[in-house]
Amino acid sequence: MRRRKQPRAEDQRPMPRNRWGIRGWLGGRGYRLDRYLYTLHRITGVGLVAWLFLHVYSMSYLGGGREPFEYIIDAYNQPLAHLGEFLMIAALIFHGLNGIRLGFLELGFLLGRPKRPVYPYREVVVQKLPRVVLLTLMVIGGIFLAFAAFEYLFLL
Amino acid sequence: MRESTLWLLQISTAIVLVVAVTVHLASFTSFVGPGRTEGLEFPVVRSRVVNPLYTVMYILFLGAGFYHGIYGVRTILSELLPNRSLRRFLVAILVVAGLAFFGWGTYTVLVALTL
Repeated sequence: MRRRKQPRAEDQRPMPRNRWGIRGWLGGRGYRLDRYLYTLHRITGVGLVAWLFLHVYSMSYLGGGREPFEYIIDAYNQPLAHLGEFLMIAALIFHGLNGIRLGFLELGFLLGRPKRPVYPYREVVVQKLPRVVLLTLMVIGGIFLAFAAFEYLFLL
Repeated sequence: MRESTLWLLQISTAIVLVVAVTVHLASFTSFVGPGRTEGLEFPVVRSRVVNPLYTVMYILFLGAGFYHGIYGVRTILSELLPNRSLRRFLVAILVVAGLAFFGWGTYTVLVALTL
């Protein structure tokens, strides 16, 4: 006997409206550094998706042989393109390192011991370890970014 | 597919991308590789792309990249667009475009084997 499919919750009541939309990415009540990192994570993610489509198109010239490939590489050897490449690598570094931090949080590694929720509810978890890891990742990111700036803005 | 499965794939592709991006960028940076100018010369690129290991890596890289990116954009759309039909339509366009570009990229990588 075929089992009847259960109705979904979103079909039974209207979905709550996101009143702030993209404006909510820029600031809101109770936003701290983590929230702004998340906003930047989304912005860099969208930028990288757009760049990925462009990169597949431009690298398709490789299939045509030497001349088409060198033509497209010459198009990338412009000052504005170097700046774009540097921004893309900066976005990659940030998105990757912040993604690693979010992955650890998702798996519960950096949350620490929970505190009793007492008014005004400023900290629910002990937050020294995530701050230390965040600082370490920022230092690593800064080093990679310095390498990328040297490579793409000064060497070329 | 269940949302938990999609999310697990998102984390898995993130791990694949961290490795693949590191290898890809290292192949033409000055500090661990030949440098950007030399690393993007045709003979150097050809020596990389005719290697079947790089072919497999690039195909995995493409698949992981498109999945991770499109799932991320889908998450953003589901937050910003309460209209389910419009959201589904936009996600469908993204999925079709992603599959098309994944196919195009895979074709380029396979053709590059014959260079």
